Amino acid sequence: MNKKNIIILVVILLILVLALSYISMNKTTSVVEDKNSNSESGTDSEVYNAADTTDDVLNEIDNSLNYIE
Amino acid sequence: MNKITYFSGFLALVLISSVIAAGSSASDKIENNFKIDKKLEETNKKSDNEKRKMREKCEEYENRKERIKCRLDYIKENKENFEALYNKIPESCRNLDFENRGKCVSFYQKSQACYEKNGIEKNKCFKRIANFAKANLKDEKEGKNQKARDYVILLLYDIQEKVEEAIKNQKIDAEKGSDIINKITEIKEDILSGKTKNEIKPKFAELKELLKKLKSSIDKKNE
Repeated sequence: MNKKNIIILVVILLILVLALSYISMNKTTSVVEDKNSNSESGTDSEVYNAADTTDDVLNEIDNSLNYIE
Repeated sequence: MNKITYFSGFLALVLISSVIAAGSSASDKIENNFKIDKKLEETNKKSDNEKRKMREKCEEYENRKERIKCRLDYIKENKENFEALYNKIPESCRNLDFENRGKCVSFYQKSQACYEKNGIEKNKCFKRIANFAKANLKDEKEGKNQKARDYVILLLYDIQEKVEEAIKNQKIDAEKGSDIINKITEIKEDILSGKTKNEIKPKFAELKELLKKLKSSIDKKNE
């Protein structure tokens, strides 16, 4: 290989490394974000109720009605 | 250049173009969705004046259940929330005395922001509006009665929102929906007028029964 070819090869490899690191960085960030959001809701759910479904809300009402005098 | 250089160049090109393609296809999707939404919006568009007349008509009914059904018909037809006229007070506040009516209206207005939230955030918001000092009612030291009343009212509004959303999505008809919302309004009135849990609980049991029937009819339709 002559000098010119080696330089082209190095540039191409550099682009390859940059592209690969860009893709892997995006994936890692989204995984970390997911983990963070899961852990936050995990802590909160110990004290607060999500009460998302109608049945959840009805149960919450049922329990709370007992505190009405 | 030798074969290795050509191969590496080809690989780099494939990688770069896939990164660019992923980005551009996402933006294309957003743009297409936006175009479809705009088209739908134009087709369904009724003039503001027509909508205002429809909303005004709902207030002309003497009977509460008819007023509620009229509002649900509006939601079904226009696929949008029923924005009450500026001088109209929420149904459950209407039969209260002057002082309590004012409190009821301001409580209703304060709570509106909670319904834009979901899950735990919505629950936190309800508890904040109901003046909870702790996360659970059982841990509250003072004013459990009032806090429970306020919290139950907010939860009942939440069920009402779910029913209205189901009507908007054509899952239930306005007649069945109005039975449920009328019952919810009755319970809210009882809570606001200071009735005891023994007076409220039978009505809540009726509400649960109505919702159960509705759920089984939706399940049958889906079979």
